[in-house]
Order: sequence, then C-alpha cells, then structure tokens
Amino acid sequence: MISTRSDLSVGGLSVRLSGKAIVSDVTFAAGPGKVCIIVGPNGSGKSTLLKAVTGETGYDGEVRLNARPLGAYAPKELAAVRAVLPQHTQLSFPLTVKEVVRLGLQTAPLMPGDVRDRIGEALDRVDMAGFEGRAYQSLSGGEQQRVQLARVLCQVWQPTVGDQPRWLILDEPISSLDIRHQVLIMDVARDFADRGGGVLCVLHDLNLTAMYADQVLVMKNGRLLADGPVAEVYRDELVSDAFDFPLRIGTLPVADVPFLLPQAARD
Amino acid sequence: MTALVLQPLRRRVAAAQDGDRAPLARSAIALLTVLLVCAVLVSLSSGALDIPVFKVMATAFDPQSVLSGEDLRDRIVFFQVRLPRVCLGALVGASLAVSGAVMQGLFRNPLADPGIIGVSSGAGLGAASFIILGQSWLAPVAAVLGVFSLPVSAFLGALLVTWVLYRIGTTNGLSSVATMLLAGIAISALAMSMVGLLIFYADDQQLRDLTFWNLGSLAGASWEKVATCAVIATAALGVVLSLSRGLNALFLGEAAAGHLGIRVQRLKTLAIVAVAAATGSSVAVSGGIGFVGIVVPHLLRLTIGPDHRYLLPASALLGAVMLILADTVSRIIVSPAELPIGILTALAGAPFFLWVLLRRRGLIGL
Repeated sequence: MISTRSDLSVGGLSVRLSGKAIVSDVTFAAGPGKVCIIVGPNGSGKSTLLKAVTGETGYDGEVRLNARPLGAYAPKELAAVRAVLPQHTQLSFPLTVKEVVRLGLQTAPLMPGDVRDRIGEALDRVDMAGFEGRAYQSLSGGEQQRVQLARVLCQVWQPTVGDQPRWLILDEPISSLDIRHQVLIMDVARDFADRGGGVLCVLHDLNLTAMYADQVLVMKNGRLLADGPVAEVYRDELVSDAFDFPLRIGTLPVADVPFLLPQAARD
Repeated sequence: MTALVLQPLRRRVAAAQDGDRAPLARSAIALLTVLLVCAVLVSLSSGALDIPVFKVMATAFDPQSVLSGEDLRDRIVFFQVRLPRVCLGALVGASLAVSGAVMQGLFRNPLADPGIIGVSSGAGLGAASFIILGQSWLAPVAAVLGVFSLPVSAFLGALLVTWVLYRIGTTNGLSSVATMLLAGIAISALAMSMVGLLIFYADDQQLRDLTFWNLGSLAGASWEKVATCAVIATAALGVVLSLSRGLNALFLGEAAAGHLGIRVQRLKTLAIVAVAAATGSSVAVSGGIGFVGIVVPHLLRLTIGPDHRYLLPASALLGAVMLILADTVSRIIVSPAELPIGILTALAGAPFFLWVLLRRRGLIGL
C-alpha cells in the first residue's frame, strides 16, 4: 500500500468485536486539503472504522497518519495532529461552555491572555458566540454538539503543522442540527480542508455528502463498497445496492450537484 | 478596605458568570487556608482542660526547669495530646476528601466514594481481623509489628480489595467503571459478612474495641500515627495532584480523554493505587469516618466548579477543616466523655448523601 508523507492511509484494516467481524479488509487513503466522507447504512461499520482510525479500538491491518503508523505515536503526539469529535458526549459534572471548550486547549496550552480570545473565536465559528457562561447541560442537543466541535477545533486550531496536515475526525457531526447549522458546520469542515488540513467524517445525509465531499467511501456489511469522488460513486445501482433500497440520483440544473429523494422509491 | 477586598471579589464573580471559575477557585483556596489556620487554633484551645495556646507556643523552646508545674502540664497536654490529634484530623480529613474527589472524577459519578467501591470495607476487614485474631492466630504478626499492627492490617486490607477489584473490573488492559462499581458492592458485602463471622470468635473486650474503632475516632492520636499517615497521605496527594489534567479530560468520557492525549489506563492505575493508600492509611488510624469524601467535594463543586486543578487542593483543605471542627465538637459536646467522630460525620453526611441522590434522581433516572 502506497502512503505519501501526508496521508491518512488505511491498509487491510479489520476489526473483530467479541468474535464477530465488524470491519473487514478496508483499504483507502485520504489526503490533505480534502473532505473525505464515509457513508453507509446503519451497522455497516462506519463508526467502528472511525474508532480504529482514531486508535480507540484495537484492529488488524495498518493505519498510518502522515506516513507514521498509529502505534508509533505517543498519546500526546497523536492529540497534537488529530482531533476527534465523538457522536455523543455526556459530561459527568456540570461544566460551563467555556470550561468545555478549554479542555481542547490542554494539549497545546496558550498564554493566559490568548485563551479567552481563542475560545471566543472557536465558539463564534460554530455560531455559539456569547454562550461562554452558560451551563453545558442546559443547552439543547444541537447546541451541545456545536460546543463540542468548538472544543475539537481548539485542539487542532492550525490545519497544518510544518508541511504536515492536521486531521479532523468527525463522527456524525451534524446528526442533531437544524438545516442552517448543518450547512454551517460542514462549511467549517470545508474551510479546515481548504486551509490544508484533512477531514474524515461519517455522515448520514447523502445530499450534504454530495455537496461537501471530495472523496466518498461507501461502507456495507463492514466492507468498502466504493471509494471515489461524488460523480463516480453517486450512481443509481451503486447507492441502491449499498442501502438495499431503490434510490435514484437527480441533478439540479443550476448547481450541477446531484441530489436524491426518498420519494423516488414510490414510483 | 472596599477597594482591597470587594472589587477583586466582584471581578472574580463576574469572571465566574462569564464561564471562567478559575479566579474564584484560587480565592476560595486562599480563604480555605485561612480557615484551616483558624480551625487548628480553635481545636487546640478547646477541650476538658483550659490551655493558653499562645502562651504554650511562645514558651515552647524554654527549658523545662523554668516552667511552673501548671505550665508543664499544659505543655504536655498541648504537645502530646492535642497537637498530634489536630494533625491527625487534618491528614485524615484531607485524605478522605481528596480520595472521594478522585474516585468521583475517575468513575464519572458524583456518588462514588472509597466507601462505596469497597476500599474502606477492605480496610475495615483488615483491622477487624487484627482486633479479634491479634492475640491468637495473628499473634506472630503482632509480635513483629507491635503498635503498627492495626494500621498495617487495615492498609493491607484496602490494598487487597483494590487489587481484587482491579483484576475483576479489568479486561484486556481496560477497566469498565460499571463492572468495578458492581464488584465493589459485592466485595463490600463479602468483607462485611467476614467481619460478621469474625465477631463470633470475639470476646466482650474485643467486641467493644471493634465497635469503637468502627465508629471512628481520633482519640488515639499519637505522633507515630501522625508520622505513618503523613508519609502515605502526602505521597498519595502528590500523585493525584499531578493527575488533575487527566481527570479533567475524563469529564468527556474515557475515549474522548484518550483523544485529548491522556494515557487513560495509566491515569486510572495511578489514581486507584493512590486512593487505596490514602484511604487505607486514614481508616487505619481513625476507623470508619464516613461521608467526608462525598460531602466536601460536592460542596466545593457547587461553588468553584469541578476543575480538578482547584478541586483537589480545595478538597484537601476543606476536608481538613471539617474533620478538625467535627473532632472539636465531638470532644466538647459530651465533655468530659467523647463522642466518636464517625457518628457526627454520618449524622451530617448521610442526609446530605440522600439529598444529592434525590436531586439527581430526576436527571439520571436512579
């Protein structure tokens, strides 16, 4: 498997949980400056694949981050090159929004004067400006998710370090957001990639995937069904096969962005 | 005066409302330090005998020959009875409160406590074994360890329980909090039933000793106990203070803490060993003093927030203050007799625990 200096590359990756194969023989490479989105039906192994890539779960095969095997990183070094947004975060104690976001600054502490500004700017990016003093537990699910993203952004504030990219790994970052904030958060991911960072993201929304992905990975039954740009992957038979559900790809004449509608299954 | 005290205070409150409770927490630690000094002075000057504390301290280095008989008596009571007792109270209070705070952070549950996961029960079983079997089966041990037999057996009990708990709760190098909590309940029950079995072998005097030890008391304070406790507690406190940032990251869960660059398994191992040592040594010297580990961290979280960098030192200070004051009350309330301090802490602590439980019931469906 070829791995350039600044890729996130996965080779022959398998994960077994209590004897059952959850992910089998997955190979792909995601590059810097690109948004790579993993899609697939429930239980297809998307989240487990992400957990292997972040080192959260054990695996067979190979995961390299910027050409270096995941196991060769000390936890602190790894935290300095990649940040992970989990699907759900439940706090054990009542923290304020500011205290939650500040946890993202633990790995690379700033001067005390800059902390306040950085936290303010991170909250501003996720449209949560002015929420510093609020109790995290009093926020709605979508607001909590955006605060967590602000924390994750603080951990990898600059998308590059030297000539190496930093990585944002997002597990369903927009699952509980309204449509305006879905787009806003995906814009944040897009911007991170445009400035040289790498983004690996699990999404359920195939239309937003079509809008934002440079590379789409389609998972089914723990295997990689397809890997390529939207134009290649978004084909009626491939998507219908992945989801075991008749789907038809359409294209808006204005933007030339494909879309798909569940109504198509009815005719 | 207004400019010196009120204005900085207002700024700190404003910062806290802005979501940053660190300045407030630093002030609280300073305030608690002052409170500790006051509590020590109050405790040193109260008791059956009226002692002029400042006079005794001022003449501390005078040779015995220049002191009157009364002064000499005061000096002996002060240095051989009250001072070691206050020191022991401070050490035990600090150890129990910090152990509670660390356990709660580690188990991500404000109701966790060394008493709950069975560490205290293990220490209790160790101590009970010695009290009852010390003159028969364990006589050789007693011959070797002498006055340290009771502390050492309680300490070993605590370490044994923690080790067993850790082995049961850990698979593939990762420990599950739920398994550990449930195993702790089972181990507590087992330890209690073994104490129950031991009681069948006990004679009247041993039963009396056991009951009083179990209620908890600082009455037997001596400089040897202070020294034993000080060495272990200081080391344990030093270790857990160095873990503050890791414990903070655990607010987000074990996986997220790992993503923030924390060695979670190492953090858990160190925290558990430190808590076992601190709890074991406290239980050894003072018996079953309960609820300090629940009440103190909880009160502090309400005011200065859960950040462990401030919560742990503040818990140590407030734990010391509360135990010294509780001990003072227990000495004077039924003077010249003494109330076991464990009764007092349980009287205040148990309703508090229920109150916390009721407040959380709606939140987590307990």
